[in-house]
Amino acid sequence: MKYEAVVEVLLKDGVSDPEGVAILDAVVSLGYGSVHKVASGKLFRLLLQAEDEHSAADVVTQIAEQLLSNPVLEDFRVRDLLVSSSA
Amino acid sequence: MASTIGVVVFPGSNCEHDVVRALSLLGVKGRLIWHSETDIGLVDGVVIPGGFAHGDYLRPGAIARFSPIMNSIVSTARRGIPVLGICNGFQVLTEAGLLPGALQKNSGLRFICRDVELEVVSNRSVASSSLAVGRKITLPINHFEGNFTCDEATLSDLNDNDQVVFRYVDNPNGSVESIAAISNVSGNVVGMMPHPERASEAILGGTDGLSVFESLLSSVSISG
Repeated sequence: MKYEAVVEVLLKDGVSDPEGVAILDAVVSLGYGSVHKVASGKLFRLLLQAEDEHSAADVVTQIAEQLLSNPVLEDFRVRDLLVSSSA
Repeated sequence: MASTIGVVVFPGSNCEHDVVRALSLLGVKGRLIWHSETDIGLVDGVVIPGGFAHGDYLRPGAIARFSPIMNSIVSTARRGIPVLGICNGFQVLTEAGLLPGALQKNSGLRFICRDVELEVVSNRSVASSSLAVGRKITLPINHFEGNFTCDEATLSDLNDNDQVVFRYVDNPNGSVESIAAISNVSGNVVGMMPHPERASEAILGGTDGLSVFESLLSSVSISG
Protein backbone atom coordinates (compact mmCIF):
# COMPACT_ATOMS: atom_id res chain seq x y z
CA MET A 1 0.00 0.00 0.00
CA LYS A 2 1.03 3.58 -0.53
CA TYR A 3 0.86 5.85 2.47
CA GLU A 4 1.20 9.53 3.04
CA ALA A 5 2.50 10.68 6.40
CA VAL A 6 2.78 14.18 7.78
CA VAL A 7 5.37 14.71 10.51
CA GLU A 8 5.33 17.84 12.61
CA VAL A 9 8.50 18.95 14.44
CA LEU A 10 8.27 21.63 17.13
CA LEU A 11 10.71 22.93 19.72
CA LYS A 12 10.31 21.38 23.15
CA ASP A 13 8.67 23.45 25.85
CA GLY A 14 11.33 25.50 27.58
CA VAL A 15 13.68 25.68 24.59
CA SER A 16 14.07 29.27 23.49
CA ASP A 17 12.38 30.00 20.16
CA PRO A 18 13.83 33.29 18.86
CA GLU A 19 12.14 32.76 15.48
CA GLY A 20 8.74 32.32 17.13
CA VAL A 21 9.30 35.46 19.20
CA ALA A 22 10.20 37.47 16.07
CA ILE A 23 7.07 36.21 14.30
CA LEU A 24 4.96 37.05 17.37
CA ASP A 25 6.32 40.63 17.24
CA ALA A 26 5.14 40.88 13.64
CA VAL A 27 1.74 39.37 14.46
CA VAL A 28 1.24 41.94 17.21
CA SER A 29 2.42 44.73 14.86
CA LEU A 30 -0.25 43.61 12.41
CA GLY A 31 -2.78 44.48 15.07
CA TYR A 32 -3.51 41.02 16.47
CA GLY A 33 -2.78 41.91 20.07
CA SER A 34 -4.76 38.91 21.33
CA VAL A 35 -1.98 36.54 20.21
CA HIS A 36 0.57 35.92 22.96
CA LYS A 37 2.62 33.04 21.64
CA VAL A 38 3.88 31.76 18.28
CA ALA A 39 5.85 28.51 18.03
CA SER A 40 7.88 27.97 14.90
CA GLY A 41 8.49 24.48 13.58
CA LYS A 42 8.78 22.24 10.56
CA LEU A 43 6.42 20.00 8.68
CA PHE A 44 7.41 17.07 6.49
CA ARG A 45 5.23 15.10 4.08
CA LEU A 46 6.49 11.60 3.29
CA LEU A 47 5.11 9.27 0.63
CA LEU A 48 6.05 5.65 1.20
CA GLN A 49 5.22 2.06 0.43
CA ALA A 50 4.39 -0.23 3.35
CA GLU A 51 2.65 -3.52 4.10
CA ASP A 52 0.10 -1.92 6.37
CA GLU A 53 -0.56 1.17 8.44
CA HIS A 54 1.32 -0.20 11.44
CA SER A 55 4.57 -0.78 9.56
CA ALA A 56 4.21 2.57 7.77
CA ALA A 57 3.90 4.27 11.17
CA ASP A 58 6.98 2.39 12.43
CA VAL A 59 9.12 3.51 9.51
CA VAL A 60 7.98 7.13 9.70
CA THR A 61 8.60 7.23 13.45
CA GLN A 62 12.13 5.86 13.01
CA ILE A 63 12.90 8.49 10.35
CA ALA A 64 11.51 11.24 12.55
CA GLU A 65 13.61 10.06 15.51
CA GLN A 66 16.85 9.56 13.59
CA LEU A 67 16.81 12.47 11.18
CA LEU A 68 13.84 14.84 11.10
CA SER A 69 14.09 15.93 14.73
CA ASN A 70 16.91 16.61 17.17
CA PRO A 71 15.83 15.12 20.52
CA VAL A 72 17.81 17.74 22.46
CA LEU A 73 15.69 20.56 21.09
CA GLU A 74 12.61 19.18 19.41
CA ASP A 75 9.58 16.93 19.74
CA PHE A 76 7.89 15.33 16.77
CA ARG A 77 4.42 14.03 16.10
CA VAL A 78 3.24 11.87 13.22
CA ARG A 79 0.22 14.03 12.55
CA ASP A 80 -1.51 12.17 9.74
CA LEU A 81 -1.02 8.79 8.21
CA LEU A 82 -3.32 8.12 5.31
CA VAL A 83 -3.59 5.70 2.43
CA SER A 84 -2.24 7.72 -0.46
CA SER A 85 -3.96 7.99 -3.79
CA SER A 86 -1.06 9.87 -5.42
CA ALA A 87 1.26 7.97 -7.71
CA MET B 1 57.79 12.55 13.33
CA ALA B 2 55.68 14.85 11.17
CA SER B 3 52.00 14.69 11.96
CA THR B 4 49.13 14.62 9.51
CA ILE B 5 45.77 16.07 10.41
CA GLY B 6 42.72 15.02 8.40
CA VAL B 7 40.49 17.97 7.46
CA VAL B 8 37.03 16.77 6.49
CA VAL B 9 35.29 18.42 3.56
CA PHE B 10 31.51 18.19 3.11
CA PRO B 11 29.64 19.78 0.22
CA GLY B 12 29.27 23.33 1.61
CA SER B 13 32.30 23.33 3.93
CA ASN B 14 34.18 26.59 3.41
CA CYS B 15 36.95 26.87 6.00
CA GLU B 16 38.99 23.79 5.11
CA HIS B 17 41.78 25.66 3.31
CA ASP B 18 42.05 28.18 6.16
CA VAL B 19 42.53 25.28 8.59
CA VAL B 20 45.14 23.63 6.35
CA ARG B 21 47.02 26.93 6.16
CA ALA B 22 46.91 27.47 9.93
CA LEU B 23 48.29 23.94 10.43
CA SER B 24 51.03 24.58 7.86
CA LEU B 25 52.16 27.61 9.86
CA LEU B 26 52.97 25.14 12.63
CA GLY B 27 54.76 22.81 10.22
CA VAL B 28 51.96 20.27 10.01
CA LYS B 29 50.30 18.83 6.94
CA GLY B 30 46.53 18.98 6.73
CA ARG B 31 45.02 16.40 4.40
CA LEU B 32 41.64 17.20 2.90
CA ILE B 33 39.25 14.24 3.16
CA TRP B 34 36.08 14.24 1.07
CA HIS B 35 32.95 13.30 3.01
CA SER B 36 32.07 10.35 0.76
CA GLU B 37 35.24 8.46 1.71
CA THR B 38 34.57 5.65 4.17
CA ASP B 39 37.98 5.51 5.86
CA ILE B 40 39.72 8.50 7.39
CA GLY B 41 43.05 6.72 6.87
CA LEU B 42 46.24 7.18 8.86
CA VAL B 43 45.90 10.56 10.51
CA ASP B 44 47.02 11.79 13.90
CA GLY B 45 44.01 14.01 14.39
CA VAL B 46 40.86 15.23 12.66
CA VAL B 47 39.44 18.72 12.15
CA ILE B 48 35.87 19.25 10.98
CA PRO B 49 35.97 22.81 9.64
CA GLY B 50 33.29 25.45 9.42
CA GLY B 51 30.86 26.12 6.61
CA PHE B 52 27.40 24.93 5.70
CA ALA B 53 27.70 21.15 5.28
CA HIS B 54 24.99 19.89 2.92
CA GLY B 55 23.62 23.44 2.83
CA ASP B 56 22.67 23.20 6.52
CA TYR B 57 19.39 21.76 5.24
CA LEU B 58 17.06 20.40 7.94
CA ARG B 59 19.41 21.55 10.76
CA PRO B 60 23.12 22.37 10.71
CA GLY B 61 24.98 19.06 10.83
CA ALA B 62 21.85 16.91 10.60
CA ILE B 63 22.63 15.54 7.14
CA ALA B 64 26.43 15.65 7.47
CA ARG B 65 26.07 13.23 10.32
CA PHE B 66 25.03 10.56 7.79
CA SER B 67 27.90 11.22 5.36
CA PRO B 68 29.94 8.03 4.73
CA ILE B 69 33.08 9.41 6.46
CA MET B 70 31.26 9.87 9.78
CA ASN B 71 31.43 6.22 10.89
CA SER B 72 35.20 6.35 10.57
CA ILE B 73 35.34 9.64 12.50
CA VAL B 74 33.21 8.19 15.29
CA SER B 75 35.46 5.13 15.63
CA THR B 76 38.58 7.33 15.42
CA ALA B 77 37.23 9.52 18.22
CA ARG B 78 36.45 6.46 20.35
CA ARG B 79 40.09 5.33 19.95
CA GLY B 80 41.16 8.58 21.61
CA ILE B 81 42.46 10.36 18.51
CA PRO B 82 41.95 14.15 18.79
CA VAL B 83 38.88 15.45 16.91
CA LEU B 84 38.21 19.20 16.74
CA GLY B 85 34.96 20.58 15.28
CA ILE B 86 34.94 24.28 14.50
CA CYS B 87 31.63 26.16 14.11
CA ASN B 88 29.67 23.96 11.67
CA GLY B 89 32.03 21.17 12.75
CA PHE B 90 30.78 21.62 16.34
CA GLN B 91 27.21 21.34 15.05
CA VAL B 92 28.12 18.13 13.19
CA LEU B 93 29.70 16.62 16.34
CA THR B 94 26.57 17.28 18.43
CA GLU B 95 24.29 15.85 15.74
CA ALA B 96 26.55 12.78 15.53
CA GLY B 97 26.27 12.27 19.29
CA LEU B 98 30.03 12.70 19.87
CA LEU B 99 29.28 15.77 21.98
CA PRO B 100 26.20 16.50 24.12
CA GLY B 101 23.75 19.38 23.64
CA ALA B 102 22.79 21.25 20.49
CA LEU B 103 23.37 24.59 18.79
CA GLN B 104 20.20 26.62 18.49
CA LYS B 105 19.54 29.86 16.60
CA ASN B 106 21.22 32.90 18.21
CA SER B 107 18.96 34.45 20.80
CA GLY B 108 19.03 37.85 19.06
CA LEU B 109 18.17 36.24 15.68
CA ARG B 110 21.21 37.89 14.11
CA PHE B 111 24.03 36.36 12.17
CA ILE B 112 27.07 37.45 14.21
CA CYS B 113 30.47 38.01 12.61
CA ARG B 114 32.95 39.67 14.95
CA ASP B 115 35.81 39.10 17.36
CA VAL B 116 34.85 37.86 20.81
CA GLU B 117 36.83 37.46 23.99
CA LEU B 118 36.94 33.97 25.49
CA GLU B 119 38.03 32.70 28.86
CA VAL B 120 39.86 29.39 29.09
CA VAL B 121 37.83 27.28 31.53
CA SER B 122 39.63 23.95 31.18
CA ASN B 123 42.98 23.01 29.71
CA ARG B 124 42.32 19.32 29.94
CA SER B 125 41.05 19.19 26.34
CA VAL B 126 42.96 18.72 23.09
CA ALA B 127 42.04 22.26 22.02
CA SER B 128 43.25 24.04 25.14
CA SER B 129 46.14 22.05 26.64
CA SER B 130 48.66 24.81 25.77
CA LEU B 131 46.56 27.49 27.46
CA ALA B 132 46.46 28.50 31.12
CA VAL B 133 43.06 28.29 32.82
CA GLY B 134 41.68 31.80 33.24
CA ARG B 135 43.61 33.21 30.28
CA LYS B 136 41.61 35.42 27.91
CA ILE B 137 41.97 34.96 24.16
CA THR B 138 40.27 36.72 21.25
CA LEU B 139 38.86 34.77 18.29
CA PRO B 140 36.27 35.61 15.65
CA ILE B 141 32.80 34.06 15.56
CA ASN B 142 30.75 33.81 12.39
CA HIS B 143 27.43 32.05 12.92
CA PHE B 144 23.66 32.17 13.07
CA GLU B 145 23.20 28.96 15.05
CA GLY B 146 25.74 29.12 17.86
CA ASN B 147 23.44 29.31 20.85
CA PHE B 148 24.58 26.28 22.88
CA THR B 149 21.62 24.55 24.52
CA CYS B 150 21.31 21.49 26.73
CA ASP B 151 19.17 20.20 29.57
CA GLU B 152 20.00 20.76 33.25
CA ALA B 153 21.42 17.27 33.79
CA THR B 154 23.77 17.63 30.81
CA LEU B 155 24.87 21.06 32.04
CA SER B 156 25.70 19.61 35.48
CA ASP B 157 27.69 16.82 33.84
CA LEU B 158 29.60 19.31 31.67
CA ASN B 159 30.59 21.34 34.73
CA ASP B 160 31.26 18.37 37.01
CA ASN B 161 33.45 16.62 34.43
CA ASP B 162 35.43 19.74 33.48
CA GLN B 163 34.06 19.58 29.93
CA VAL B 164 33.52 23.32 29.42
CA VAL B 165 36.59 24.43 27.43
CA PHE B 166 35.90 28.13 26.66
CA ARG B 167 33.25 30.58 27.80
CA TYR B 168 32.38 33.89 26.17
CA VAL B 169 33.36 36.83 28.36
CA ASP B 170 30.35 38.73 26.97
CA ASN B 171 27.75 36.20 25.79
CA PRO B 172 26.93 37.13 22.17
CA ASN B 173 24.33 34.51 21.24
CA GLY B 174 22.41 33.33 24.31
CA SER B 175 24.43 30.17 24.94
CA VAL B 176 23.66 28.54 28.29
CA GLU B 177 26.27 29.69 30.85
CA SER B 178 28.07 31.53 28.01
CA ILE B 179 29.51 28.24 26.73
CA ALA B 180 31.59 28.67 23.57
CA ALA B 181 33.33 25.26 23.48
CA ILE B 182 32.96 21.87 25.14
CA SER B 183 34.77 18.54 25.11
CA ASN B 184 33.67 14.97 25.61
CA VAL B 185 34.42 13.37 28.98
CA SER B 186 37.89 12.18 27.98
CA GLY B 187 38.79 15.54 26.41
CA ASN B 188 39.85 14.24 22.98
CA VAL B 189 36.74 15.49 21.13
CA VAL B 190 36.17 19.25 21.20
CA GLY B 191 33.54 21.45 19.56
CA MET B 192 33.95 25.22 19.47
CA MET B 193 31.93 27.95 17.77
CA PRO B 194 34.81 30.49 17.43
CA HIS B 195 37.22 30.15 14.49
CA PRO B 196 40.87 29.72 15.59
CA GLU B 197 42.04 29.41 11.97
CA ARG B 198 40.84 32.97 11.31
CA ALA B 199 43.15 34.29 14.05
CA SER B 200 46.33 32.46 13.13
CA GLU B 201 48.41 35.22 11.51
CA ALA B 202 48.98 38.86 12.41
CA ILE B 203 47.63 39.94 9.02
CA LEU B 204 44.25 38.39 9.98
CA GLY B 205 44.06 40.59 13.05
CA GLY B 206 45.31 38.19 15.70
CA THR B 207 47.26 35.05 16.45
CA ASP B 208 45.43 33.66 19.50
CA GLY B 209 43.99 30.86 17.36
CA LEU B 210 47.43 29.33 16.92
CA SER B 211 47.40 28.26 20.57
CA VAL B 212 44.32 26.12 19.85
CA PHE B 213 46.14 24.31 17.02
CA GLU B 214 49.33 24.09 19.12
CA SER B 215 47.23 22.39 21.79
CA LEU B 216 45.81 19.98 19.22
CA LEU B 217 49.27 19.13 17.92
CA SER B 218 50.77 18.65 21.36
CA SER B 219 47.87 16.26 22.10
CA VAL B 220 48.70 14.42 18.87
CA SER B 221 52.29 13.86 19.96
CA ILE B 222 51.10 12.61 23.37
CA SER B 223 48.43 10.26 21.98
CA GLY B 224 50.79 9.10 19.20
